[in-house]
Amino acid sequence: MKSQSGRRKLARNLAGILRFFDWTFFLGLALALALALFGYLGQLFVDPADIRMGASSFSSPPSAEHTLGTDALGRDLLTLLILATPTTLSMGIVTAVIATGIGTFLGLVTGYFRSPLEAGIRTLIDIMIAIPALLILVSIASFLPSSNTLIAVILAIFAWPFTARPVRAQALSLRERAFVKLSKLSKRSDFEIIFFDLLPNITPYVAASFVSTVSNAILAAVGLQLLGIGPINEPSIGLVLQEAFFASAVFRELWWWWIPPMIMLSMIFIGLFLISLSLDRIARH
Amino acid sequence: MEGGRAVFSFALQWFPSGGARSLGASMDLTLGNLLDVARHGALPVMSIVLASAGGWLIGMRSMTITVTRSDYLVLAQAKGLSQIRIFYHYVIRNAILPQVTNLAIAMGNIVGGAILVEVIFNYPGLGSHLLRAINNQDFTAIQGITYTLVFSVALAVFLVDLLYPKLDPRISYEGH
Repeated sequence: MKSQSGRRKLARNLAGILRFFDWTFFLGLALALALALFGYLGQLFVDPADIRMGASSFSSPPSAEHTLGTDALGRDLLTLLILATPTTLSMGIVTAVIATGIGTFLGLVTGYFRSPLEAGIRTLIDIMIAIPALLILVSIASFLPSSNTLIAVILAIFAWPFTARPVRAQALSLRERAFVKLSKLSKRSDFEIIFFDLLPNITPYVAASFVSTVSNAILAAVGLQLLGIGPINEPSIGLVLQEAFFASAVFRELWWWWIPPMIMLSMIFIGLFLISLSLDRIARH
Repeated sequence: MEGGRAVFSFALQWFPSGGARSLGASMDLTLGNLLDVARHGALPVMSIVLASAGGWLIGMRSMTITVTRSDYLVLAQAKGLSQIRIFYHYVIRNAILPQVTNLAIAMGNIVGGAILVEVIFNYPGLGSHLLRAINNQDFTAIQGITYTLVFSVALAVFLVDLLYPKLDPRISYEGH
């Protein structure tokens, strides 16, 4: 009896949380999850040998044997795309974890404390935002070892100011609120105030910026791939597109080669955009 | 983008498929040459514009909604000003300000995006030269182009900052 009422309470709480989100959030989540499942679960069911060069016939259109056809190197495109999706998604997530972590921490600290260091970090944030990140990335990516993780870390170095700036603005306004003063009077330490009073209040902002950082990182990574200077040792969606374009798939009318990765990338971007739009709306409430 | 290039320049032949000017065209400043440059630039420009216009639209929309709720707009309506005057002199005038700030922030992204567009549309700009320099391991050219682009973005951001007090009289750089 007791457990049942507990379960009902849990269900009511869950319904309360779900009511926060609107349909854009769930549509975005559905798109992003569909792709994540496609990649992370799909790789359990495919045979990596199918994406060896010349594993099957060259440039054959979709058929019963090859659901999405094969590319000009004789690789099964469905297998290739399934194995490419986790790389692309993981990369965006690694970048976003690092960038949001650094950005939130520095944003909170510089917003809460007032010191000469704060002015220095603020200037650094402004400079980092003005510098064209993709340009610097293009210049250094070609000299780096071919590694998606390394690219993700470098993307994070350029991405954190975009989290730090809004977080700092929020922290600046929150620190003047009454509950922060109350915490100070009750002798909470500065770091306790930052992490237990300020951080919970900016969670929707952090979540929204996490999601848009994932999206921007994937966009930048695909950009690098399209230019032909991204990592080439692991399959990624950008790499599939790049190979299609470099082999002039569009003009050779090999539509099954470039349209599916294009659709998958659009799904990622639209899905993540809808999620961050909805989280942003919650943050502004 | 590649698909757009296939449709508009190869299938329909409306626009050229690459280059900034027709082959052998003179550098004279004639109307024909200007139109030629515009025709070559149309596809790359359109792809940057189409890709980024949506974000600006959403930003402007949310700012307009914020402004619409403000007290001075209620006052303007109470004074009986015409809708056109309210729209242009009260709503847009105030809603455009954060967009200008965002323009300064987005400048870097626009330049970064332009590299990609130049390469895909085979447009002979600094971006495609940069890529060529990278592929040839031409370090001094890479340095020079990166420096020029970063410097011009910084200059553009600086100009937007200088322009800001003209747009928003509440902000001034005097006394700082």
